[in-house]
Amino acid sequence: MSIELVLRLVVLLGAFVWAGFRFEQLARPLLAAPAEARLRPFLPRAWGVVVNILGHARLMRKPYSGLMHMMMLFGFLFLLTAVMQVFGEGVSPLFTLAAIGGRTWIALGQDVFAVLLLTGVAMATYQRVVWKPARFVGSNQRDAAIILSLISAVVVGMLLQNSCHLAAGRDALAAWRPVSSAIASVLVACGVTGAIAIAGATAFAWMHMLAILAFLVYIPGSKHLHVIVGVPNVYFRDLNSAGRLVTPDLEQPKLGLSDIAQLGRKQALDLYACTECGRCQELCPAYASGKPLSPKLLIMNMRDHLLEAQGAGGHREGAGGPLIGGAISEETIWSCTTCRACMEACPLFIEHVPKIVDMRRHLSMEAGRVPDGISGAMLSVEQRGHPWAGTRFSRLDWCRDLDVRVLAPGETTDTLLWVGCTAAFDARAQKVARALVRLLHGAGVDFAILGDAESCTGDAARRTGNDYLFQLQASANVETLNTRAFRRIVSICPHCVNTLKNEYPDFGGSYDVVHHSQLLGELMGQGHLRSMLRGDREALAITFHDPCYLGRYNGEFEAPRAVLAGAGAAIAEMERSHGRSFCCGGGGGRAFAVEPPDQRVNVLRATQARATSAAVVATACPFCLLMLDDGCKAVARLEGDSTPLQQVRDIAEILDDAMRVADETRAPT
Amino acid sequence: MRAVVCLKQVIDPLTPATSLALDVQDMKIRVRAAAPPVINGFDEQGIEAALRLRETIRELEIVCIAASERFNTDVMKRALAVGADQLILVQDPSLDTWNSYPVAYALAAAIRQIGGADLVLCGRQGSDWDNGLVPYILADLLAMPLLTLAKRVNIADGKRVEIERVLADGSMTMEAALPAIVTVTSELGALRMPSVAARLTAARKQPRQIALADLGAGAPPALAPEVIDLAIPVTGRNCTFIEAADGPGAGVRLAETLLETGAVRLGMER
Amino acid sequence: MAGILIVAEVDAGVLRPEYWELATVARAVSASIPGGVSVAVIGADVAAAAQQAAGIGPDTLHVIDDERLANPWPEAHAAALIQLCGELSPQMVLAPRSILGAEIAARLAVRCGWPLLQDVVQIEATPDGGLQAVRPVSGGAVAATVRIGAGPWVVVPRPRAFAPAAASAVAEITPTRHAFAPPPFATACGTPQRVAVQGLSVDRAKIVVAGGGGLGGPEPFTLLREVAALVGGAVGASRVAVDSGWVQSTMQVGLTGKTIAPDLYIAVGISGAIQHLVGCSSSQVIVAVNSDPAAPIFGIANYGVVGDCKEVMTAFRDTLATRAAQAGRAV
Ligand SMILES: Cc1cc2nc3c(=O)[nH]c(=O)nc-3n(C[C@H](O)[C@H](O)[C@H](O)COP(=O)(O)OP(=O)(O)OC[C@H]3O[C@@H](n4cnc5c(N)ncnc54)[C@H](O)[C@@H]3O)c2cc1C
Ligand code: SF4
Ligand code: SF4
Repeated sequence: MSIELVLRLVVLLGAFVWAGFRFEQLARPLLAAPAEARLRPFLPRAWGVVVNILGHARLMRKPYSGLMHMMMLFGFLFLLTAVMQVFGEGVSPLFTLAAIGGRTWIALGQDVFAVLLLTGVAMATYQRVVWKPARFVGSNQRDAAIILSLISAVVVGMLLQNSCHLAAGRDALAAWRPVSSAIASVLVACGVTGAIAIAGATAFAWMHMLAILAFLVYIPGSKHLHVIVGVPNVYFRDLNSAGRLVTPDLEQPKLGLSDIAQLGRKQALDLYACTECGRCQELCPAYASGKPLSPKLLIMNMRDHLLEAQGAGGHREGAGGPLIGGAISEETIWSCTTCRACMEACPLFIEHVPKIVDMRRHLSMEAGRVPDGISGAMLSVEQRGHPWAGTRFSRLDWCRDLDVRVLAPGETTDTLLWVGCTAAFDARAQKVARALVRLLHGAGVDFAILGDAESCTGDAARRTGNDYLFQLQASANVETLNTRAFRRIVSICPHCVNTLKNEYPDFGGSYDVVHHSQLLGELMGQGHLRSMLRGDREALAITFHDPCYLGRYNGEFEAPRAVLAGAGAAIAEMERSHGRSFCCGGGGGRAFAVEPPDQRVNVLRATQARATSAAVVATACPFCLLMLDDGCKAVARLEGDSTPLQQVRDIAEILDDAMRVADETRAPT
Repeated sequence: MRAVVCLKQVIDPLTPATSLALDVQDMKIRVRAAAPPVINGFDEQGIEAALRLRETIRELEIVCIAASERFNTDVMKRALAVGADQLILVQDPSLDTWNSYPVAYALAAAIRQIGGADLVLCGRQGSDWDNGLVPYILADLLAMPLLTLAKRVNIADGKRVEIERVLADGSMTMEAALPAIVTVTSELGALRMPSVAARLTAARKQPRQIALADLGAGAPPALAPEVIDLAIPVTGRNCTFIEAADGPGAGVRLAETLLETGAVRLGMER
Repeated sequence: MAGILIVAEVDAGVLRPEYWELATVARAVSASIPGGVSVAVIGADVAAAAQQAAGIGPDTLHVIDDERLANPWPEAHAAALIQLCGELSPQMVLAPRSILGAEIAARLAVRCGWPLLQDVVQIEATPDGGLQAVRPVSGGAVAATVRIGAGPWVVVPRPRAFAPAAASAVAEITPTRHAFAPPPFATACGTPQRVAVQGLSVDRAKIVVAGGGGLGGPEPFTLLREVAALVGGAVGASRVAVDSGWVQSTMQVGLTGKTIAPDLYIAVGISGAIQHLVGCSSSQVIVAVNSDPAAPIFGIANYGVVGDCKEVMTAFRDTLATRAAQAGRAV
């Protein structure tokens, strides 16, 4: 056995042991963490891996980065053959892949993919050094630089190793290694032949091997860990409907996440999977408004905290200092609007919102520390069944002069109109409920409301971590609903729709729930309302704001647009629309929170709406309505307009306006 | 050491006028929809004062006592959820919500029956009938000194209670030997939020129900005025909105309007 | 036996303004209550205040002037009033609804076993020798009419619900001095820490400029102070502003603050919760500045401005300042 071989074996073994130790350290918290039932169903999970990892579905939303990643991923995968060779030859000089084409197409592939990989590295370097998109702010740039250097070293080492072999004339594969051959001819021209070339081959083989081993050892502490946990993280992704948060058992000793050791296995895996790409940060409204939350930094900080806790005493509670107030500030936790833009963007399906809500659960249900406005609203839900303490209306005031039936227990209706608290108690939002009632009358729909029996669905309670209150509300509402008969529920509020549809099944209430945009779309499709449209309508320039809980949460982007188009609107889309829509700032209980004047999400969204020059900002959610109304007024003030350039209106109001029938219940606008 | 906090169950003070129903037969203010009552806000602050005292005086037992013609037990149990050791409900048809004397007699008898108290905390007034008389009657019945309108309550060496009393233009410290009665005011701060664990424990605990007849409260004097009518007052003002191109413009217009109408006169004697 | 005894509260040497309103109430019912109108002046060094109180022309004027009554110590003041009532046996005691006045009224009523009529906005004597009164309850959402049989009664009228009586400069009346002979005290009090109120206090001003949660912080209150200074008014606040620590609690208007009825009330960034309206809804003219057109405050305002408070009030102040300067030059 040559000394070199012994040395190679020793180095290999050393690197494996070292890397193994580092991986073991990482694996420990995962193994100790409670498992989440995410193994099955196999097929949809595996298909997601194929589509998103091999197919780059989410990554390709950024073509430059997507292409770059594709070249690097497939390059990396193919060069695993070279890695095999290195390790194989490290153990035995007789190792060869010739049997499966190591001397033919694998050799060719190695050359081709090496070039692709290097191109990817060059693109990445250009992006990080020259282009510097804002999504990288806060990412570990040193880590990225080290990774890119190591990749380059691996590839360059391999290419030069092969080139030297060719230059030394010891390799008959010139035809299968076009790139290496080209380099070899340069080397030969420079006088690198014979013994020098042989020595070079050995040296570059070492470089190749050392770079691979360095990569292996380096990976466990780096964002590049995603090459290993990416696949399982996508496989174990949440397959539930987006709008369903896990219902916690309130009797368990610890409620909510206050210690990193409580994280479930997939939640912990998420932390390792983050590539610090910042796609989430780029879309986060809280981050954009200058609040201390960036979903990327949230994940990174939790990861660092997990590793610190691991270093400071293994996987036990309290190790490594406090999570809340230490690694993650309370202000950060409360800044989230639960808009889900981050989760939709993340190529690794990391779950930010459940983690944030889980920490809120601790703050709300154990520590009793909830920001003023939110705690007041939740206390009001508890005391009076709606969050709008101080309203001068009672629940039925909005429809006293309209012909609306209140459904008593035991009675039947076709469509149950779930009004929602905002549309019942807020003077502005009441107009939406009134417009919808006129449309339903016009279309001859048999509908009724619950009246005083309706109580807050508890969406804001759940999303601000007060699951106790949410569960009380849910149980009470399910009981109310189950004593009445109806075919389906329609609601004006996407938050109500989401909760009724996706979260009440946990409480014994499974209903067919639609949003009023969907119902109106359906009625128009059946021709019910079309015949009543006024003929003399002018086409209105309208921009549509996708409510998060309608769009991203429940996948409905087209119905509200169809209603607007039916009402004769010309839709001018905002820069951020559909799945990339920018939250109004009102979700996740933020509609009740005190927003610092210079950090208002609604002002940012109103600015985006203004950029379309549309006369009307349409939306389909009462929270969005109130937030955008306020935002448009604020923007008008900032811009020095006398009156807001844009009116904020619900799609139902716009459609109602387009109707032929004059009606005295229609308030003058 | 024992602190008793007196609680009153009241109509939610945020009930919109359209939800109020006046029963001029029984002279009762009722709420139309199924809107549950609340614990009088000032009384909740009395609980908060007791909880703050317990942060330093570990052995302080907190007993909440309420007297009413009927109760919404779930609402009253909030007292247990936030940390009161005991909740006593004295229920009797004679305990009208607006007549202070029978209520105070019942409270005093209940306090005596549990063996007295070192400190009795009350809210400054009920948000419904605003009489603010119960603490005075209690002080008389229990022969305890009374300190009122506390925004801070402190117990010194287990013997004396010191308070910071709110004045129209400041504050003043006051003190008395225990046992004593203290009323608290809103400046003290809101009642804390209960943890869910505490709520669940409270949900299993039951308030102690005591029948008024078993208390031997004695007959209260008939000193309350009789209510002979209830009405919802009308505030008949018609708002004239100042129209202007923008905020500053409206400010200018407003100044001009008020000067024209004489609502504002410049350089007038103060 | 005295008929009506008016408690003339002296606060830091000054006769409280509610006194003149109590005099109006006394005059309104005195015809039905025999025994004339007496005044009780309780405090330390109250000679000047007693002199002033004599301005309504009472039948008798009683003074307890004692060092122990220098501070607004409820127990001592109540003892003095109880002592006087023992000596005078009035049929009706009228006390102001101030912090001290309401308290000594309650202590007197309970000690003597007399019915107490709190927060009265209308009152009349009934033919059967009783009283009938109207008082707001449930935070002002409901007005209750109450009736009570034969006296004695303790009555605490709502501030500003009755017009102040004018001082009729009648012949000098000699105050009857009573030596203070209280029972042992069970409470003790320290010296009041009075917060220097900038400018006028809200309950004395004819114009009140009040700020609420919409101001967003303590800074914009400076703007309100400047406006108040220009119009000769005082600055008030909602409970949100007080609880947020932006301003002193002495400035709070409402159910748990001061009840005021100025000639002009300007509510800036105040939503108009019923508990706030209780304290200001009897103002002559109400102006509301609020960014929310649906704010309930507009429901009781005479003039409304929908807009940002800082913008509106800055222009408002500047306009007034310019006009004041012009007026100054013109004079
Ligand atoms: C028993 C009881 C007693 C109470 N006693 C009192 C009391 O004595 N006094 C009292 O005031 N309250 C009292 N309250 C509290 C009361 O219910 C309200 O919570 C309080 O009055 C609200 O104050 P606010 O209107 O200033 O604040 P908010 O409710 O926060 O309203 C702020 C207002 O400012 C507006 N606004 C926001 N931004 C701007 C801007 N840039 N420009 C202009 N306007 C803006 C908003 O539209 C809103 O209308 C009591 C409550 C209870 C239950
Ligand atoms: S849910 Fe929305 S607000 Fe919350 S972290 Fe994600 S992007 Fe930001
Ligand atoms: S959480 Fe996802 S989107 Fe955000 S930086 Fe990490 S990998 Fe990228």
